[in-house]
Amino acid sequence: MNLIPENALVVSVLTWIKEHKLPGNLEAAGITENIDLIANGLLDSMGLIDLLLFVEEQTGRPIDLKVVEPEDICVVKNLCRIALGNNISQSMDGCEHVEPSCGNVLAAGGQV
Amino acid sequence: MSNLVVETYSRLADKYDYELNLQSCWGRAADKIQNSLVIEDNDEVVLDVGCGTGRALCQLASRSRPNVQFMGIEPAENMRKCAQRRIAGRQNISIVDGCFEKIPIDSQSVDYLFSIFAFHWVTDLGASVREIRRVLKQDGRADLFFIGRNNGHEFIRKTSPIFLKYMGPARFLESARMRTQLTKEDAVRLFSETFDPRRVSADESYETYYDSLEGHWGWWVRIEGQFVSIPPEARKACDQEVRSALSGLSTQKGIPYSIHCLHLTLR
Repeated sequence: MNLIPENALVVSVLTWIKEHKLPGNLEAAGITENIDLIANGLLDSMGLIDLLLFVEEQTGRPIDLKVVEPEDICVVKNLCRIALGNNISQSMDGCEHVEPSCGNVLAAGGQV
Repeated sequence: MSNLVVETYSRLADKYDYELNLQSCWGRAADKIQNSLVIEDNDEVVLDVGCGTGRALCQLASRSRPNVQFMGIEPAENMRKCAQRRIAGRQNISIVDGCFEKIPIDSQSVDYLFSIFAFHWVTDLGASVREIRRVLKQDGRADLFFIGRNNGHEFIRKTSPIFLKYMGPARFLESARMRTQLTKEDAVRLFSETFDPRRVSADESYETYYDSLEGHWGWWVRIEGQFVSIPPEARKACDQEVRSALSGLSTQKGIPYSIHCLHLTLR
């Protein structure tokens, strides 16, 4: 059973990002659950580590990085879903499906 | 236990003193730091932790009294060999295997300890600070220079999405964990846990260096250890994307890279 509802986790994560984002990149008002935190320069790799620790603390569940794709952890909506153990293809509006990414293929030793 | 950063420094040791690296932003920043170091009249033993190929150690020894004993600690075997070649014939300089976490020197034997751009590679912060305290004399001094939390932000923003793509999340974050990037406040707090807080102080500086793409590529040897997990067949394409992204940062002055340097002082 999830201790925190997905919507509440999203709000909590967005608040954390606004407090911890790198300076000079996007105003807080522009930070939404759908933007890529790394591609938009809101977090660097160490910021991402801190964010994952925060999310794990919120959910009480570890995130297995070996089975996630880059956009699973870099987009708040996806991250919260993964962190709660929900199916990534069942978005909150019930209409999204995330395709496997190039990054994950490479992480498994595949070709570019 | 294997350490990819140390292994890679050792593997690439022969390239470390290439002109492109020495003239790069990191080479210039390191030279500036080594020129600022001061050996006091009563110093007998001076220690450089993470001495690399021994450049700073030799330069400092050259402008000091001959009766001062200089010692360099370096964990990468081939870097030590380069350093030993550099010091050949100099009786007052020695190079030994070791690292911050395990300094092979008697307790309370060092008058002055310095380190240039090495402390951010430690794997155990607490053990490292305790070792520094153990080897320093009661009134010993230290100057540690290492990268801060906001180092290289221009490059990081451009390259992180690329490395994430080619490494995948697990390896990308594992790579980030290979280095420690403290804030000034974190650094002071860390050392104040082991040393009398009145002895601990820190300064920080941000200096932006402009260079060509090839100029910046010259110092990639310094961070190569973080990328060895990229599958070889993907590395070439990754490098091409990184180079293309960095080219996008070009200005009239060149491609900027800002070094966030922390200077931790023990007095």
